[in-house]
This record gives sequence, structure tokens and C-alpha cells, in this order.
Amino acid sequence: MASLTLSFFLSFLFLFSPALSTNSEGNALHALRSRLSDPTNVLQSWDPTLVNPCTWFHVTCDSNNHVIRLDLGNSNVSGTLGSELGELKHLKYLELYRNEITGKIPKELGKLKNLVSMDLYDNKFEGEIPKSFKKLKSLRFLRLNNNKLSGSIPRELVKLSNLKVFDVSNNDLCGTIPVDGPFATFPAESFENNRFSGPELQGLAPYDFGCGST
Amino acid sequence: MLQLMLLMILFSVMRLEFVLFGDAQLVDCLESNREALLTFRNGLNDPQNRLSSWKGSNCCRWLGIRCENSTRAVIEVDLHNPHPQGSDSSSRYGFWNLSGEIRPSLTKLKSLRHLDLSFNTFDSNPIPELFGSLKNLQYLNLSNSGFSGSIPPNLGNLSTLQYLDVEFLGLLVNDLEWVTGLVSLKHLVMNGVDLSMVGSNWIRTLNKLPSLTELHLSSCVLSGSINPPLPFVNLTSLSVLDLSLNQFNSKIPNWIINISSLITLDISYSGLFGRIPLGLSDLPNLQFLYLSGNDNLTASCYQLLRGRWEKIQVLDLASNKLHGELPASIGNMTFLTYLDLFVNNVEGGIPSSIGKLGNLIFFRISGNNLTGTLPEFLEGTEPLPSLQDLDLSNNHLVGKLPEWLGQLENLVHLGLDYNSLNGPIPASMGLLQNLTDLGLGGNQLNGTLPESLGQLSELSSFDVSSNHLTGLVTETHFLKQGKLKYLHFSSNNFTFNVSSNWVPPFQVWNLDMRSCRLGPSFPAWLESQKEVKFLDFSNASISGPIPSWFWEISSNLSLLNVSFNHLEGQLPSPLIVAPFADVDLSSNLFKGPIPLPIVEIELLDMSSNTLSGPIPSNIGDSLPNLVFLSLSGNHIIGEIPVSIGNMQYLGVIDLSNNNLTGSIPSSIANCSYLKVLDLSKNNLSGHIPRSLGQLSMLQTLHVSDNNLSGELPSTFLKLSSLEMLDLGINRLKGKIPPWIGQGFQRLRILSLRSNAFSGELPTVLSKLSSLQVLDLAENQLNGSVPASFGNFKAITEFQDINHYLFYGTYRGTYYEDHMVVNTKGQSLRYTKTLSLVTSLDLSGNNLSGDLPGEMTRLLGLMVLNLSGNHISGHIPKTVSELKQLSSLDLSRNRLSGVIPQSLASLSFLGYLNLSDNDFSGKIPFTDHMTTFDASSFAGNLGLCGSPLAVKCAGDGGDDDPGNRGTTTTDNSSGESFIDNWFYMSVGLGFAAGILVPCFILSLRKSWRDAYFQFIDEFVRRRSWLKHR
Repeated sequence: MASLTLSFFLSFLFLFSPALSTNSEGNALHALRSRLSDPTNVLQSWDPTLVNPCTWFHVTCDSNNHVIRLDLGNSNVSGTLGSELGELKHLKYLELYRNEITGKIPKELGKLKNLVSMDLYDNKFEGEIPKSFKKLKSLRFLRLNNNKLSGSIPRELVKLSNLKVFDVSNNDLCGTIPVDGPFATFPAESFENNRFSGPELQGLAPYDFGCGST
Repeated sequence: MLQLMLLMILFSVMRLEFVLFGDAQLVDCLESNREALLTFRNGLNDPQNRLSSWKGSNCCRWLGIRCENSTRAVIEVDLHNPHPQGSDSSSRYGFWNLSGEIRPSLTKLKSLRHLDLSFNTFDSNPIPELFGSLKNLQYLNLSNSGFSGSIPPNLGNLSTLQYLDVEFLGLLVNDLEWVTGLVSLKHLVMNGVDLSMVGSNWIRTLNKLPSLTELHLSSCVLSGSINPPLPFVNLTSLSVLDLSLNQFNSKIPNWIINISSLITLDISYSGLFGRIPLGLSDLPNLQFLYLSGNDNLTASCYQLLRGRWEKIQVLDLASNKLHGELPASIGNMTFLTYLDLFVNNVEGGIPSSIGKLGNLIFFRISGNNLTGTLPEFLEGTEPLPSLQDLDLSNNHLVGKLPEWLGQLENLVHLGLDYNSLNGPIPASMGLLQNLTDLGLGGNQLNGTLPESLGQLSELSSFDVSSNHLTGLVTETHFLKQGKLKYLHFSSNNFTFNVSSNWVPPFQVWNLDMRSCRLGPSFPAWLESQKEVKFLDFSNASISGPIPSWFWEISSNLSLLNVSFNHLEGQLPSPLIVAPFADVDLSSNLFKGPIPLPIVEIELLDMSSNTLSGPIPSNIGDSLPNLVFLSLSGNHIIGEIPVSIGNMQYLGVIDLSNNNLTGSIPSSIANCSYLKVLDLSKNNLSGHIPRSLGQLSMLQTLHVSDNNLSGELPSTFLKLSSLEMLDLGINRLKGKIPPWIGQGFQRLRILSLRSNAFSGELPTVLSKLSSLQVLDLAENQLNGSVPASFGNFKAITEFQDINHYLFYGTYRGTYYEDHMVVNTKGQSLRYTKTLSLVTSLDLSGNNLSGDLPGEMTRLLGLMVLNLSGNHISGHIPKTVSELKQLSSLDLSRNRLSGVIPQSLASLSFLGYLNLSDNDFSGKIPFTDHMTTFDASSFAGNLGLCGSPLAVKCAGDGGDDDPGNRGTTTTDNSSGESFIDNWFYMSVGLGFAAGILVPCFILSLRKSWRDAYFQFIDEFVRRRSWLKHR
């Protein structure tokens, strides 16, 4: 009897739900959802059976239904990020600040060539700043402050000519601070409360000795 | 209980055959007895001449008569019908049936000891009192013999009676006291007799019958407590007690556990509650215990099953509230054949000790809270050798299917559906040669389907639906399944790969193949299946036309679902299906005219095809019982037939997205059960019929995107069930009637978008307490935005529970509601998550006056669009209260003042448009605000600072686009980080050289630390000074 009722209920659920999204961006976001713990239900509209993720709350698409924004700052989520975020090829704004996200920053974020703003500040990220970020040629805002990042600032980031704001303060970074390119203009506060050994000295081989050994 | 009854019947049948053929009486009978019997016979109605042997002098040789050898007196009259209705041989009931009256001559059989008239249809008179004078009677069976009314109390005179059976639903007893006269009674059956007048005294009365061994009081309308204090229990010989199917509302009485002679106890379905006494397990002779269906009996499974249960064979505890785990000691209940715990709250896992239950035939714990994995191994040398039924469905079991399942060689039914089992289906399950039901649906099983299952030659029901199974399904999988009737393969990842001339060995009834890849062309093997009743080939990757032979086997189909394929071609007219069928042909490529079915049906869904032509004008007369009609998303032309109003049971009419013309027929108002009316996206014109106001059950009404004109009918006030009123994109005019704010307590969505409504916004709209989406955009509304718009109750709170809005559900099909909401500068169509959306869109009107600060009370608001009006005033600082806001469009108004800093804290904002207003001052380009570019702020002459190119007066140097959410934008020194290090380097002196300290520092950690500590301190102080 109960089995009948339940099977009826389930067939009812499955019978008329349209085929699952084949949209790779939707799949990527759904994978993200499955990694995150969401005590305040901010992701409950993320229904993978919908045709695309454009009606999911905190997701914004452009007119071609490509995801261009993810606005999940201050949303009490925890968990980790995964490589699938690299599938959001059209993403411009990745706003995940002020949450409880842990683990490493996936190097696949370097695939987000259109990214203008990456705000991961005030989380519990650890590990290194991915070198792959050197490919984020459109990036203007990179705020990674108030995490537990370690290692050094990848020197390759000096090539990000559009970078206007860079903040890695309050982490556990070490090594030298790049001084070329956009780094010539970032204020001292962007680097404070780390274990930096000083600025990179121009004209000489970078001396990243001792980084992370204390 | 039922089993017992059937056993009794079987027993009496066997006995009769013995009397008939095995015990011929040689003695002559008493003449007085012969005459009495003949007179008795003359009162009977025996149309088939069953009593043809009742002639001649020796009545002892007549059918059903037995005499005593010494006295030649008749001692037994047995005229029971051996083929009662409901038995396997009930077709022979009529031949054996006797009716008529019972003549008093029967009382002349002074020696009569045994009288059986059961299962006949004697005149529905009361039981004749004359039975009370058959003084020597020891056995009286009047069960189901047609007598009704009150049982005569003079039966109590039968002091030698040992067996009395008066089972029948038409009998009743007012006072049971006469039973105490039956001092020799051993066996009393009163099943079905109405004892409701007796009250709870029946226990005390029957307690006076010390010889009683069997008492059957099932379905006796007994009620009230069975717990009266008995001075002592006299029933010391009682072995069978059946009190099932009564309404006691009582606990299980303690006196029962004192009857140590009990073998069978049945108090199932009797409204019992409270704890099951552990004392039951100590009854030394108890073999059969039935307590199922009481719903409220409690016990700890662990405690209860750890009892002694010395001889227990049957434990039926289904449908109660047992909790706790199964104890490992369950394996010690050696005699157990039947254990039923269906629908309780049993927790934990299945102990491996059940393997020792060598006699167990039936084991059911479905519908509980079992967790953990199935035991990998079972105890015992040959585990569960007798098991036929294993049902653990609807639990929370995880892990893999163990190999021992394939060794249960007597298994007939296996139910593991609706758990969370994973891993593959073991190939060894193909060894279950007696299996008729295989239920594995609703799990997370993966891998491919073992070919060995094709060996299950007895299989009737094959259910692996809703798993993660993959791979090919071939002819081998069904090789020997000649008896298959129910095939449930839906919702897996199967691909059928069978040859085009495959003729399956079965004639199946149910084909539930949703989401299996059956294509690319229509499966040819179906042609051999002449008995299919339920066919679900939806989403099965089938292309091309439906072959013509299909319509030769389709006349049995009660369900025809081929939706979500790529089927094409014209549909035959008429459509051939079974009466009252559900027909779902939606989401294909069918073209041509709309066919009607040959018989009346109840569900017709042809939506999302390319059907053309008009809706048949006689649709309402052909399908008067239609409940669900969807033709949306086709190329249908012409008018909506007036006959649509003849389908009075319609719950859903969806004709949206076609090319329908003409006006909306007022006859639709006759469909008084209508819950859904969707006529949107057509070319309908004329006025909205006033009669639609009669549809008091209507929950969702879409007529948007037509050419409807006139005003909103005032009769709509009566649509009190309405949750969605979508009238957008028409040519409706007039004022927004204030009465809209009066009824409609359930209205979630109101859209009057893109019409010609004029006048002011009624203040009372805010009384729509369920309203989540208000779209009045693109009209000619004027006046100001009422302050009361801050009071929409459903928007003042954050909606955090999604209610999937679907309506008109009929046998699993329903209408999914939807709405296009303009948000973030786009039109987004919301469906399943619609109930979470909150939006106020008043854009494109002539609204003026100040933006009311009260709007910031709408704490759950996600979309606010006031663009394209003449609204003045400023953005209140409290805008930061609108934490859910994801789209804010205030563009093209006359708003002024500064953009409040607090706006930058709205972290969910994904779209911001403040362009073309009179805002001034510096843009608070910090925090989340940095995610918006210049276009959000353009066209405000007084605005300055990033992201605009315009620099603010007094701002020197570069802008500081707000690092890490600080609100400080002061960076007037203009010094950058590298300068600090430059000064420091100078301070230390290049003269000292760089390589030297580097070299030294690289060698000595303590020096290095000191050096950098010094530098850090130096930099820190400089920064501190700078910020002073």
C-alpha cells in the first residue's frame, strides 16, 4: 500500500519532468550546489530540471542564456569549490565573498577569460593562489583577503594589465611582492598581515627563499 | 483470520465428501424419522434437486443423513453447501444451494446430534426457535445460511451443545446471557454477528463457559474496553481467540496473558493502542499471533522479539507503531514461518542471524526506517531455505545487493523497491527459478542488467525502474520470461537493442518504459503484444511515424503515453484506445488535423506538436467526461468551439500558444470544476465573458497575449480560489477596479501588463495578502505610488519554502503554472520556482510623486522596477533592508540626491540601473557596487567618481575603488606601495650592498627574521602615520 502510494508519487514526479538540462553551465552550477552546504536555503531555486540556470536565483545570464554573474556574497554557504566552475566560460562576476567556503581555490578558475571581478574575500580558502590566474586578462577586481591562503603571489599576475584592485591582506602568504605592471599601484594594505619577505627587487633574480619554511 | 476461515471451509468440504461416498449406512431408519425428514424436505426449495436421493424407505442412506447403528435414529443432518460463494468452486454454489423454510418436523428427530445447514440461503427470517428444542444437539452450524435478525435466546437450552457456529452479517444479539446455558460449549463462532447491544459484558458472560476452546468474535461491532477487571479467568482451555475487526479503543487486556492454553490469538484491526504486553511472549503454547492493523500499538521491537516465543510460528504485527531495532536473537525463533512488520517504525539493520530461520516463509518489513546495508553473509549453513516472500521496500537501506539473494531458491516475491541501494544487480539472481515478482525500483542501482535474469521463467512483474542502470537491453534479458505481465524499466539509462523481427516470449500488460532508448524507429516487437493496457513510451528517443499496425493493438490501451519523442506524421482519426483512457501525445512532431478518440476518454494532451486546423466543433459532445485537455503549442486556427462547455468535468483547459481567433465562448462557464484556464498567446478578441466569474474553483487564469478589449468584468470578484490572474498584453482599459483588493486572498500573481489601464493605483491593492508578483507595467497609470505598497504581506517576508505551483492534477498529469517576469532587463519564464519569486513592476507608466520610503519594508522583494515614470525623491538609506533584491531598475525617472552608501551592501544584487535620473554626488563605488559598470549610472549629470569617467571635485589622483569592503575611500596622499620600499632602501643604504645581506640572511634564520621584522615594523609605522 505504502509502496503503491510512493511509487505513484515518484512516477508522478518523474513522468512529466522535462529532460535534465544538457546545459554545461547549469551542470557546473548544480555541481557547485552539491558541494555547498546551504543552511539558509539561498540555493533552493537551483532546480537542475529547468532548461537553463537563468531563472535560478543569484545567477544572471546574458541575452544568449550564458551565465555572466554569480552573486552569492553573504549567503552563509560553506563547503568547497570544484573544477566545474571553470565551465562558466562567460562569467564576468564571481561574487562568493563573506561565506564559510573552505579548501583550495580551483586552478580551473583561470579558464574564466571574461572574468571582471573575483571576490572570494572573507572565507576560509587555503592553499596557493593558482598560477592559472595569469590567463584572466579581463580581470579588474581580485579580492582574496581574509582567507588562509599560503605560498607566494604568482609572479605571472603582473601581466594582468586591467587589474585595478588586488587585495590579499590577512592571509598566510609569503615570498616577495611583485612590483611590476598593475602591482606598482596597489596600496600596502592590500598585502598586510601576511608573511611577505618584502618587495621583489627589480633587475635582480627574485629571491623567494624561505617562503613557507617558518 | 481469513486463512483460518478458508481452512475451516476446506475442512468441512472434505468432511462432506466423506459422508457422501465413504460411509454408506446399511441400517434401516426409523419410520417416524423418515416422515419427519420428508416433511422437512417439503419445506425446502431445491431447484437443482440436490436431495434427489431422499426417497425410498432407508432414510439413513439419504444424502447428508446419518443414523445411529443401534437405534436406527437419525443423528446427523448435514445439508451445508460445500461450494460457498467466495471459494474456488463457487461456480457450483447454485447447484447445491437450498432455500425455503425450516419445518417444525425437524424437532421429531429426537436423537439429532449434528445439524449443519451452513452456506445456504434460507428465507431471511430469524433463526427458528425450534432449534432450541433439539435437546441432544452437540453440533449446530447455521453459518451463512441466510437467517437474519435476532438470535433466539432459547438456543441456550442446548445444554449438550459443544459446537455452535452462527457466523453471518445479518444476525444480531441483544443480550448474550443465554449463552451461559450452553454449559458444554467448546467452540463458538459468531463472526459478523452484531453484538453492539451487548456492551462490554460479553467478556464476563463468556468467562462462564469453562470448556470453551475456540472463540471467534470477528467483526462483531464490539466496542469499548476489553479490559474489565475479571475476578479470575475461567477460560483455561481456550486455544483460539479471534476478536479481530472490532472497534475496542482499548489496550491489550492483561487477562489474555493469563490464558496459558492459547495457541492462536487474533486481535488485528481492532483499534487497540498502548504497549504490546511482553507477557505474550511467555504464553507457552502460542503459535499464531495477529495484531496487525491497529495503527497505534507500540513496542520496542528489540525488547518484544527478544522474548521467549517458545512455539511461535506467525507474528503479524503490521501497521502499528513498533520502533527500535531487530534483535540478533530473532534467529532463535526456530518455528517462525511468518513475520510481518509492514508499516511500523523499525530502525537499524537486518541481523545476519535471520539466516537461521529455517522455516521462515514470509518476511516483510516494508515501510519502516531500516538503515544500513543488507548483511553481506547470513548465518546458518543453508540460509533461509523456506523463504518465499521477502519484502524490505520503502526503507532507507544502502549498499549493495548481497549474493545470498540469489541463493534463496524458493523465493517467489522479492521487494527491495524504494531504498537507496546501489551497486550492480548480481547475476546470481537469475537463479531464482520460482520468482514471480522482482521489485528493485526506486534505488540507485547501477551497472548493466544481468542477462541471467532472462532465465526467470516464472517472472510476472519485473520492476527495475528509477535506478541508474545503463547499457543494452537485449532479447536475452527476456529469454524465458513467458509469463511476464508487468515490465517497469522507466527512468534508467537503458538502450534497447533487439532485432527487428524479435517476437517476445510474453504477452505483457504494462509497459512502463519511460526514458528508455527504444528508438530510433517505433519498436517493431510491440506488434506481437496484443494485451497491453498501459503503455508508457515517453521520452524514449523514438522518431518517425507510428506504424499503422499500432492502431490495431491500441484498442486495449487505458494509458497511451508517447510524449517527448520525435514522432511525426498525421494521427489517425478516430484515435483508437480503450474507453476512459489517458492519451498523452505531447511534445512530438505530429501534424495535420486534431483527431478525436473513438471512445470517451478522460485525458487528452496533444500539446507541443505542429497540429493544424480547427478544434473539432463536436469535441464537447464526443468527450463529455474529459477531465484534462491540453492542445497548447500547436498551429490551431479557428474559434474555440462552443461545445467545450459540454465537458462539465473539465479541470484543465490549456489552448495556449496557438492561432485561435474569435471571442472566448461564454459556455466555458459551464465547466464548473475548472481549475485551469489558459488561453494565452492566441489572437482572441472581444470582451472577456462576464460568465467566467461563475468558475468558483478556478485557480489559474491566463488570457495574456491576445487582443481582448473592454474592461475587467466585475463578476471576477467571485473567483475566490484564484491564485494567478494573468491578463497582460491585451487591449483592456478602464481603471484598475478597487474591488481587486477585496477578495482574492489566495492571489499570488496579478499581471495587467501592457494594456491600456488608466487612473491611479488603488491603495487597497496592498490588501492582497498572498500577492508576490504585481506587474502593472506598460499601462497609462498616473498618480503616485501609494505608501501602502510597502504592506504586501507576502513580500514583507522572505519566501524560503518553494511550493511547486501545479494545478488540475489528474492521474499523474497536471498543469504546471508559469509566468514571465521581467527582471534584470530580461524576460524570464519561471515555472517550478515561481512561488519563490517576488516582484513589483510598475514601469512604463505616468507615475509621479516621491518614491515612498515604505517600500523598504518589503524585505522579501527580489525585483523592483519603477523605470520609465516621473517618480521623484531619493533612494532611502534603508534600501539596504531589501537584502533579497536581485534586480533594481529605477532608470528614466526624476530621482535625485546621493546614491546611499548602504546600497553597496546588497550582495544579491545582479542588476542595477539608476541611469537617466538626477542623482548627484560621488558614487559609493565599494563592496558589491564595484560589480556594476558605468552604464548603471549614466545620464545623471551630477554623479561623479568610478565607474564613471567623471572625477569628483576635490578628488586628487586615482580613484580608489574600495578595497575589501572598507567604506574609506580616502587615499589623498596618492602614494603607492612601492614608494615605502624605496624610502626604506635609501634608509638602509645601497652602500651596504644588496647581495651581502641577501647572502647572510639566506644563511641565518634568526638574522633573517630580525631583518624583516624591522622592515615590517618600519612599513607599518609609515602606513599608520599616513592614515592619521
